[in-house]
Amino acid sequence: MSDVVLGAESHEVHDPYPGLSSNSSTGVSHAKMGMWIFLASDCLLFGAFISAYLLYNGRAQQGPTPGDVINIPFTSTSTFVLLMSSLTMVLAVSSAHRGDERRLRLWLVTTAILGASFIAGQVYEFTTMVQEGLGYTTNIFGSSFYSLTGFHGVHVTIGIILLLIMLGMSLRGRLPKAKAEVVEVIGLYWHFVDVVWIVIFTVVYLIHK
Amino acid sequence: MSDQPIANYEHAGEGDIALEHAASDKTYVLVAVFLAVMTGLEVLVSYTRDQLGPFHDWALIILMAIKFICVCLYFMHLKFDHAMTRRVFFFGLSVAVVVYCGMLGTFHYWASGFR
Amino acid sequence: MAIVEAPQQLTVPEPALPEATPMGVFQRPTATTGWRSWVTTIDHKKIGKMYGFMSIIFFIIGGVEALLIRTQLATPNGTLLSAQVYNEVFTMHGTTMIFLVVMPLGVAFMNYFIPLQIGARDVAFPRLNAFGFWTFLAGGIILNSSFLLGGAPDNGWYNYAPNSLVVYSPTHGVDFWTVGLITTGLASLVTAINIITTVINMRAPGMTWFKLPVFTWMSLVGQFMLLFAIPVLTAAQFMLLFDRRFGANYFEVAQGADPLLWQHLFWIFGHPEVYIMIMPAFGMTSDIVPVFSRKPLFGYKVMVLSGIAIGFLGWGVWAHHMFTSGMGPVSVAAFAVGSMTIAIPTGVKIFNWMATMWRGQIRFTTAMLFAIGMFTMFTLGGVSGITHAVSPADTQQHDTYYIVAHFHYVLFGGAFLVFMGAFYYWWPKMFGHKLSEKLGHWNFWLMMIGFNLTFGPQHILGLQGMPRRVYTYLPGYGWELWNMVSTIGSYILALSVLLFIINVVYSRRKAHAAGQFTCEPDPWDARTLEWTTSSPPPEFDFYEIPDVQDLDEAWHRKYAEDENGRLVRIAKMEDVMDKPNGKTPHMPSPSYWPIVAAFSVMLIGYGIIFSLALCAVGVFLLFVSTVAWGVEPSTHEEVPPAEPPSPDTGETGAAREIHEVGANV
Repeated sequence: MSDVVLGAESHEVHDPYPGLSSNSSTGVSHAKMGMWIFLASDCLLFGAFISAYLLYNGRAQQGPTPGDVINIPFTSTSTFVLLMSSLTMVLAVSSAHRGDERRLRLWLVTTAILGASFIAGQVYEFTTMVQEGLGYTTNIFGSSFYSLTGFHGVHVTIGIILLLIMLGMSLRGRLPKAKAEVVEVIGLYWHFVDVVWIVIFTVVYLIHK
Repeated sequence: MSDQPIANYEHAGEGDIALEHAASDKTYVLVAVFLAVMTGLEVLVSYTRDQLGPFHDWALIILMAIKFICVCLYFMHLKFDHAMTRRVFFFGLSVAVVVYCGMLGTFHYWASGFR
Repeated sequence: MAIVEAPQQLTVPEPALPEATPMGVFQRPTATTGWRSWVTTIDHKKIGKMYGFMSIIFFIIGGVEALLIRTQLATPNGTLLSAQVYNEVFTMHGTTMIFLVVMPLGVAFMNYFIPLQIGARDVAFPRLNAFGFWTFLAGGIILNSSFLLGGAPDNGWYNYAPNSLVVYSPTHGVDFWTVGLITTGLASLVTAINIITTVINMRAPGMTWFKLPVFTWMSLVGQFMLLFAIPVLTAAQFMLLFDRRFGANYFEVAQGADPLLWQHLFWIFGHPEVYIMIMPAFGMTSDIVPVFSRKPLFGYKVMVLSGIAIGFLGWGVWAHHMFTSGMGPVSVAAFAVGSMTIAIPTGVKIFNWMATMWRGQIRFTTAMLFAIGMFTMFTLGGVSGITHAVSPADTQQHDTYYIVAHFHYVLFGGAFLVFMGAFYYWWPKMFGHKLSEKLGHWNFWLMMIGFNLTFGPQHILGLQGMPRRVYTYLPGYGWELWNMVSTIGSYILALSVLLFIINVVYSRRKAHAAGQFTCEPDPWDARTLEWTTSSPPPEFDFYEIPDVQDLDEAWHRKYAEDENGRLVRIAKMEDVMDKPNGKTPHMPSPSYWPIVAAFSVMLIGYGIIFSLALCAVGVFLLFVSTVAWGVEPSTHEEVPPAEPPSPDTGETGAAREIHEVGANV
């Protein structure tokens, strides 16, 4: 804890209103700190769905099992797409910090398109699975699988909307270098969605029986 | 600096300084290439269930953990940011891992590996 | 890079960014009085008061439900309630008291006093704070409206699946329960994020971790637990909701589901939850006892560390609620040992409170009485808690009134008693006048007598084998006497609550009739930073952000030790308090969007229960309001700077940047 204590002690000499500006005892802005705290909490949300899925894995009484419907080559591709969207997101953050608004918009659009491709892939995957006989209510695997991946999909969709809002803000000149941190904080959310998918891809798709 | 100075960041929070200088775009691309390779490796491993036997699942879990940590440290800047952000996030993550693994343990889940 | 500027940039007076036009639907609210000011407020003090007010309203509702339960059980073969209504009433009693009374009452005090205790002007995200309150209220309305809209939940506050599936609970009651609690869960989540960020980031200069008042510390620990516990409940409730509304199979045993999944998820949330409720109460006791003993808190660091230890251990004991579920001997043994270890840090706290009082100059004010009442009653509840940790004994006690007695001793006797004390303690700071001490003493003693008469006999009933949740019983089991005593006690308890409300009204009338709207800053000769502001504090809390030197800052401004080590008064609080310095800090402006966003969450909630079309309307409205919220600047552009920026500090320029980043996320 020592460095935090130091942070508070060496606290702004220059800012008379530490309580009100985004100046903070730690030097991390409120928004970023708040986002990290939220992400820490979200770990527990996904953890519950993942562990419910794992617990029920192999217990389906009827209908298709993971081995019947999971298409590893296809999902690997969409995993790769989401991974690359994380790269473009971090490049967007980097452009924002440099004040390069043109590149910022370029990378934001790329990230949003990659995210949307991932969602499109998920829609295609779900449709195929339903055609193969795995509905949401078919069995315990269907319910836990669709709920888990669906929750993740909702997170990605919210992320895409946030990216588009940032794109609009940037087009109206409201994401100058000075506000690069907005991009960074939304970026944290986006990367989190990506790491959740890293876990889902491994435990749901690759370690299925 | 920009012609629109923003007045509200204190004397260089340690995290922020670091963010600017710690990682270049080149690093990010390298990390992404590394992650892509790891993903490819994962997919490869997933087809060797019969050869690897009981190590198959754990090999995948280890690869997953490496990818997870890489994204957190580099893309999410945890490596360069204030210690508090690391603490908060990894604390939540550890609570999640410990509690849910414990829960699965009460179902004797680990006795049979990932079923 | 942009967000790190050299310090001299602070002198630039201009706002850094072009001010955005708020979405042209509403004029920016400007009212500072009247109902409009309450609806649009983002001031942590007003929000804290609203939390307190609504908690008391819900407490009255939950209390009436409790009286119905006790009246039904007063005699054998009670006929006041049918079995179905009885189920609904005890379910709603538990849900209301936990989620709509004890938790938000803690949040009320945290909201009001954490910024004051750490020397900040507001919380980190003021609009999110308002959103949290209105979402909590929306959840409370959804839950309680179930009585009028086809039946309340009827499965107990834990709603064990599969008993809560449509087959066994065909009304919409359980849907109201899941949706209502997901909504209040959202409120808890944003409030936890807000309070944690505030404490981590907004401590005044010099306010290091080990100078934080204990109330702030314990609230921080509690909010961290809430942060990690609430998503577990939310996930479980989503599963239940999907099962009930969309035909998922999470808890369909015929499909291979395991009923223990719900129990585990619920108690992974549920056990930290009890610490979430008691943590702020520990903190309040640790603040009140030293003040009225005129001694520093005994073992401050140990108190803090034991609180953190409880916070950690509280995560490893959830399955002691499930000893009779057949988990297997290894799990039961592990969780029994874990549960017993929690008694160690808790015992440390109790001994430290006693050591604080030891040889102190104790003043038996109402607040002090409630604090002492808290830790005596909590000790009783803790001792019966240890008997549950002994798993063989728990098998006998499980699902009997012994359990009911235990958790009322810790939650009512522990948390709620000291919340009452906190009202008496902090009332002058919040409202500018004290509550009547004379009525307060009556309030305290009536509450103690009523409480012990109500819940003491339930230990005996439980050990005699009376099960929980039975709506009536036959004569001849030997339960008649103690049930009657318990019912009489509950009416005495109700009388004491009535006396509190009378005290509030009476004291307010008396003060206002005497023209007293403010009082001295430090009426109790107290120790922590909130007492260095005027009573009530100005809108911006502090004219001058304090420079904190000591733990118990307020005390050290007033007292010092002479050369013989004796305590001498060196100043009056009136002289060393935070005083007007001619500057008026610029605060964030009120906003309509938090309440609009919370309202749309409520629409989504009702939509999930009744019609997905309503849900779509809610989602659209939520989208509009959050975008509008995001683009709305945190301060109203037409508000002129309070004064020209002074060149050496430039605080106006800095202040105009209030929460700029946070506000847009």
